[in-house]
Amino acid sequence: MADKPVWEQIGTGFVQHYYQQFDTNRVNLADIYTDASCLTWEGEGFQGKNAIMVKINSLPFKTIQHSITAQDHQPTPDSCVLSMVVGQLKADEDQVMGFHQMFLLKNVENKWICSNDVFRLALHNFGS
Amino acid sequence: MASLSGDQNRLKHLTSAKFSASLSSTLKESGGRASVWEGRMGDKPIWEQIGSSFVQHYYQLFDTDRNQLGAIYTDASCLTWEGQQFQGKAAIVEKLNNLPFTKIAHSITAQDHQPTPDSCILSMVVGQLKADEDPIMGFHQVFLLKNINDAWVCTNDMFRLALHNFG
Repeated sequence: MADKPVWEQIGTGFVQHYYQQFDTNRVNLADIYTDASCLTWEGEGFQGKNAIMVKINSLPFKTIQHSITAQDHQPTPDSCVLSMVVGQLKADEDQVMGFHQMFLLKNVENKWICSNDVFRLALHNFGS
Repeated sequence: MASLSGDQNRLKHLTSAKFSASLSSTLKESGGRASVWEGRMGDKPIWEQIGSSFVQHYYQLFDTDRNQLGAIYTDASCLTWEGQQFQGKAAIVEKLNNLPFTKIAHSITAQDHQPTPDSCILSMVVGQLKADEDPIMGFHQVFLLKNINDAWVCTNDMFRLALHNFG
């Protein structure tokens, strides 16, 4: 059991940072995105730090808490780190919901940034 | 099987040189400030066409003859299956073939696709599956697709069942 692979350290460090910021002061998340970053939030697409932060800041809950069930990380052929998270969240007084999220992390000028971010609630059973 | 071979033809079409050239210029343009989401009003963006065709192809093969999935991986591909890691086409196919169910059906609830800075396509799928007579379970899967020698291959694949409440 040597140390964890470096991509796993980077991925878990990022995931911990992201949800900690998201749950305490999500305005701070601006630091992880660039003007080329893409976010798909429940199927809706946003590009660039500004558009992404407008979306994140306008999410309609006051308090939120994420709990991570599982996270996986892989290195990619282009020296990025791909992270996938399965978890549960509780927003305000709503019931606990499952969520799925993934991040692609890229090293740009000696800094790890999030170039791609996709989020979905785990809602499978719609009407009919 | 007719629909399966039709799907393979469609995938071949999507991986033609002409198609990938047009993708790489689209992705290059989208690297700047121009919105990568342009074109959504008309035809679907090209990465979404490639991503959704891949996803359709993958689950169709998985549910009918998962032996054939070897074709989408290379010797550098990574699979993380329920936290367990495999690298290379041979190890991945061995894992998939050894999964302990005889029949499986996937149903996709939602899929999202994005272009990446390195001209790859990132796809995320949330869905449900039924294996043999087990109860229906939620699953979560991510694919990174890369164009290598004019063919789209899956370089990264991660799969998790949506099981939250242990013990």
